[in-house]
This record gives sequence, structure tokens and C-alpha cells, in this order.
Amino acid sequence: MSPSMPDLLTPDTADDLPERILVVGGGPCAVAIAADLDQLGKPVTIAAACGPDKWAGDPKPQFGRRTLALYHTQVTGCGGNVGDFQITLTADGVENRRRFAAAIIAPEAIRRANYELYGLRPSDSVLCLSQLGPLPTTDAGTDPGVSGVIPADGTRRGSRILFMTGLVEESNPVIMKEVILAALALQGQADARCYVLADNVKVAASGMEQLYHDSRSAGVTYFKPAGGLPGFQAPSGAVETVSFHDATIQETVLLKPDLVVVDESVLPCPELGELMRVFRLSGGASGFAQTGNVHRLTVHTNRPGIFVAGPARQIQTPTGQITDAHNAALAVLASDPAPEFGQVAPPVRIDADRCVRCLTCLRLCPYRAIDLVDHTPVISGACQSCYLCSAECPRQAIGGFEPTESGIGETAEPEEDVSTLEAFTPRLTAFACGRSALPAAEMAVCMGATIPAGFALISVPCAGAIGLHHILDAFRSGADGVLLLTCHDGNCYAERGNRHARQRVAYVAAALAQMGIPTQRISAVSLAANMGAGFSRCVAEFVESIRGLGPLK
Amino acid sequence: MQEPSSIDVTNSDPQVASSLALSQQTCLTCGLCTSSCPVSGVDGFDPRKVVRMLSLGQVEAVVESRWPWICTMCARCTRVCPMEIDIATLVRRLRWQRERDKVPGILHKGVVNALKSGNNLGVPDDDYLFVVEDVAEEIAEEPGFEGFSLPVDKVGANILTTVHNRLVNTHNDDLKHWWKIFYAAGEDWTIPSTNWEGCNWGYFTGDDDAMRIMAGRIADHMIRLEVRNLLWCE
Repeated sequence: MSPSMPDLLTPDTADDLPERILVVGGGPCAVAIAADLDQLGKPVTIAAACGPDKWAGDPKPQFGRRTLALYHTQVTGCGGNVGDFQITLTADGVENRRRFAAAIIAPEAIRRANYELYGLRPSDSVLCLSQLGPLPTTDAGTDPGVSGVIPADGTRRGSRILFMTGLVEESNPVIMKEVILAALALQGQADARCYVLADNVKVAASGMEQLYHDSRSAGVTYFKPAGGLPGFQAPSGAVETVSFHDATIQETVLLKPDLVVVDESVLPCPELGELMRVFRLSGGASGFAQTGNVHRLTVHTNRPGIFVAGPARQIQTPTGQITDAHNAALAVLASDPAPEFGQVAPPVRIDADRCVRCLTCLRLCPYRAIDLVDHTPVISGACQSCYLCSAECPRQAIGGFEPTESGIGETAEPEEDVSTLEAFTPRLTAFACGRSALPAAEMAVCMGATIPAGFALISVPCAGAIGLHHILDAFRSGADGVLLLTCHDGNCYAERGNRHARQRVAYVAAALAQMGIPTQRISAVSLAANMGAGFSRCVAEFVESIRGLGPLK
Repeated sequence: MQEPSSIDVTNSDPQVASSLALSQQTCLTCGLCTSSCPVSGVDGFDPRKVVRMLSLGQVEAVVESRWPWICTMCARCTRVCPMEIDIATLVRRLRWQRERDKVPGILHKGVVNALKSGNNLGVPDDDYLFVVEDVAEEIAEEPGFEGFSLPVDKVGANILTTVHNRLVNTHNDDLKHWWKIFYAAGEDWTIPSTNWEGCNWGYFTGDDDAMRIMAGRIADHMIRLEVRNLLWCE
């Protein structure tokens, strides 16, 4: 995105803001989101990578009057910020830049047949789930109705059919349901003998327990092979004998199936990685567009105004995806663009005179809330006041926040000069993350714990907001020990503030070591908001540790 | 059981076990039965294995093994099973599946004897009557029991009691305990003159027909002698 198009980058005035919402995706979830928004009077553009004939699900989705559907279209760029995104849509090599109030990313997931995973190759007698044929559409237990899995020419009648699912990677209820429905239909209607080899039978979805029970009543036999993949004797591609260890009988079980059916894994579509890069979203190890971060509720991401829904965040059941579509529509329309974030600190201010445009803040902002306007970094409405930028700015040009005492667990005489006490009572400063350690401290006090004398608990929006100068100031003011209390790995509200905090602690520890000061005087500990007991324990341990070291001279 | 090196389930029909009143869908292989069983581990036996083998259609393998006969029929497994599978009854049905001449020990021979002669040891009726009268005379010689007499086939008695074969054969003295209690309590009781056996080995061999016949004989006594109460002590 280049800043050479000033007409798109003029400061926002109320009537200049776009209203249109972008939905990226080519399936039922994206259609449902568009339908919701249309009903609520919002103009929507759906950008689908596929053509109208390849639309997943309903072949001819119905769009509202205000909805514009673009086919063969990819998102290739995104500038701007919450409330005013400048998004580049490319179709047939032609780029178009449009302004949107928000974007919802909901492309369909893809399925991969797991032949390779199980060490098999496709053949006449080794199929994958999709190749079996259309599954019964009803959820009726014992009578699923004749379906495509039972060919009209009777070829599968009386066959021995082995299903394999969830053996190397975990299965999931969607795949499990298809396996069970197919086995139930074949066993119950085609007189087939069906066996399911599964590590864990995933029944955590509506109706699955009953379906599983019905399949067993019909005679489907389930095995949980111990010790990895079963052994295959496959002389010429066709699987002849399958052997595995049944842990209940403690014996090897042999089976000679007529047909082997491998399951499929649900994976993110290839476009999703590119979309995450374009929209600068943090992704999970799975490749789907949401991490396990506890602060990212429902459809929210690290970027206010950019949402992920349905298959893009591993919601796999059709009903779950439609529910998520409703979630997404509601989230977009919420008056506060990012209500779940919640401000815990004053807004960030960049001092333009001190700033040397090194762009460190722009690069590290977890919410991508810093934009470049006329070569000057500008804080946008997406800022969540985590102050990671402030801690890292080499010119200390970012201000607005100064750590202050939290006031939690104040003793009757907070001004007491602990140096006059007979036994050595350490003076300790703890910087507590406002989203984890601080609630944990409140919980501890609620449960009857007391904050020890000499212990100063300071609330910060993120432990990553604590810069070196804060830590050194604490020591200079007489602290015998300094503690940084962060969120757990993967659960930092500001994505990686906890890592910043740990790096700073390591840096200070190295400096202390050079000065001959024991490194235990500086420490970083991770906590969660519900760890009242954990907080007490951590405080007690630190007090003991510093008490053992004596006062810092 | 000769532990098989592997079990081929290709041609097994899991539904065949339904004839034994086991619906193969219910077992969760949770193992509560195994933990409750007093003979788990003997010869590789445990109730969960039996149920699992049956649900894989391996009925014959189990029937031919020692497993059904290792079971003590204590029914703890039945009691703890969360899916309410009656494993003890299942084991008993498996016993019935075995050919009668392959039933272990003297159990089936005892049943054959009982069906033919009315008791497991084949003791003739007049030998039985001789023994019980003899015991009655011994009781009558004891101080305090001078008036004792043995009621046999007494019509209209309050209690009919069965007799265990061993007590007629070798342990005659043990007949005295109940009889002396009856006398001291002033009870109106009787024993039958024929088909007196209380020990119903059809229970052990899974033989419901034999059980029915022997129980039927006792019921017949109750009807014939117009007795209202039955003390079936074994």
C-alpha cells in the first residue's frame, strides 16, 4: 500500500466513513453473514475466490439487494484501520481498491483424504470418505434411508468394510459423524459387515452419542488399536489382511476386509494463509485464523474491525458455522468496534518532535494500530493501550502511561518504613499485568491472603509495557527485588507482551550479573486471572528468595 | 485357555452373541467387571474379555475354554456394570453351550443322577428312609428330645424342608441341627419321602431344563402335601 493516494487517506470525518462491509468466502457461512447484515440494513461485498458455479453448499445462493457478489476475486492488500480499511480486491489481474468499515474472513475449509497418513494408496478397494458416495441427509438413527453409499448395482452388499479414522491425528465430530452414518447405512441396509478402527470416537456434538449407540446396535464393531497404526498386508495395492492389537482381549486381531475407507482431515484452504498475511492476523499452529488465546473471544482477532468466522476458525459443523455467521454479524455491528478488548489504560501519545520515524512501534504493534501518515506514525482507533510500543521506543517518544500502585491489599500503614523493622523485610516491586496477575491478586486478597509489608503491587496494561527504565527506577528507589507478572504463553492480550517482558527481565538479569548482583533479584512469572492461590504462592516464594539474599546495597 | 496367537474376526458375526442375551452395543470396556471379579487373571480370564470376545462373535472359542468354569458366579460383575449387562447370567449360558459330556468334573453326572433317581448321588429311596429314621432315633435318645419323631410326607404341615445329598450319604449328623430346632420351636414340619434333593446342579451346569424339573418336583410336593412354606436349604 503506498501513501501516494491522498484522497483515500484523508482524516476521517463522520460522514466520510465507509459503511460497506467486506465478507471473504465462498460458502454457506459467508452467505449467512451477508444475509444477516443485509437484513440489518448494511451494504455488503462478498469476495469469493471461486466462480459462481463452484460455490460450496447451495449452488445458487440468494443475495440481498445491497449485497455485491464478486467471483474469482482475491484480497491482495489491506491498509487503513478500524472503521476505514482500504482493501485491494484483485480479479483477473485487475486491482480495485475499496474502502470498508470492517472485514469478515470466512472462506471454506478443505478436506484432505488421509491415504498417506495411514500408509495406503487409493485403489479399487481403498477409498476415502468422499468417494463412498453421498451420505444420508437425515439424522434418523436406525433408518438413515438409502443413500449413495449403497450402490444400486448391489456391489457393496454383504461386504466387509473397514473404516479408519483418527488414528494418527485426532478425528473430529464432523468426520466421525460421516463415518458412523456410512457404516450404519451399509450395515443396516446392505447387509455389510462394518468395522471402525478409531483411536478416539469423537461424539462431542449433538446427537452423536445416540448415533454411535445405534450403529453398535446395528452391529458395527469398533476397535481401538493399541500401539500405533495397524499392520497391513497389501500384496498388490489391495489390502489383504489388517492386524492390530486389541487391548481388551490382549490379543492380535486379524481382519480381511473387502473394502478399506480412510477418513479425511479438515484443513484451512490455501487462500487463508495469504489472507492472514494480508490482514496481518496472528494465526495458530493449525493454520487456521485464530490462535487459542483466551482473550480472542468468538470471532475476534488481534485486529479490531477484522473478524474471522466459521470454517476459517475451525468451526466445522454446518449448524456451528451458521451460528458463527450470526456471531460475526453481531460483532461487526456492535457500537464499540472491539468491546471485548476494554481499555485498561489511557490512550497512547506519540511525541512527534522526539520521534525519529524508526518505525519500531509500527512493526511491533500487535493490533496493527499504528499507521504512517505523511511519514509520521499515527495512533489509530484500533489502539488498545497496551504500551508495548512505549516500552520499546528507543527515544522514549511514546507516553501517556506511568505505572502507579494498584491499591490492592493495602495494609493499615502503607507508609511504614520497613527498614526500621527488626527482621529484614524485603522491599519488593511487582509489575502486575492488569488482565491476569491483577485479578489473581484481587482473588487472593478475597480469599484471605494479605499482601506482605514492603510489597508494592503496580498495575500495568501489559507486562510488556514495562521498559528498562521502569525496572531500573524501581531498583534505584530502593527495591530489593523486582517481579514482572505476565499472562501465560499464548494468552497475552497483546499477543507477545509476555515475551517482551521476559526478554527485558533476561536483559536486566545479565546486567545485574555483570555488576555482581544475584540475578534472582529480577524475575518474571506467568499467571492467569483465576490463579489466586498461584499469586499467593508466587509472592511468598519471591519474598523468601529475596529475604535469603538480604537487602540490596 | 490355549491363548491364541491371533484372532481372525473376518467371518465372525457379532450378532450371534445376541442369542446369549448379550447386545454387543452396550459394553463400554470400562473394566469395572474386571476389577470386581475375584478370579480375574486366573488362566487369563476376566469378565471384560469374555464380553469382548462375544461381541466380536467369538462364541465357540469362549465356550471351549476354561473361562466359563473359572467364574465363581458371585455376580459382582453384574452388580457393578454401569451398562447393566448381566455378565453372570451370560457366563451361565456359555456353560450350557458346552456338550454335556465335556462339562467338567461330576457336575453333569450329578444332574443325570438327580433326574433319574431324585438325588445327585443316586441314593435309593428306601436307603434314604432307613437313614433318616435312624437319625431320628438318635435324636430321640438325647436328653430333652425324648418326644422327637420324624414327620415324612405329613399332609398340611407348615414347613416342607429339602435335604442335601451329602447329609444322607456321609454327614448324617448334620441332619440333626435343623430338626432339633424345629422340635424345640414346636414347629409343624415335614420332609418328603422321595425326590428330596435340595442341591440343584443344573444351576452350575447352565441346565435350565434340569433345574425346572427338579424345582418342579419340590413344587409338586408342596401341592400334594398342602404345605404353605418351603425351607429350601441346600
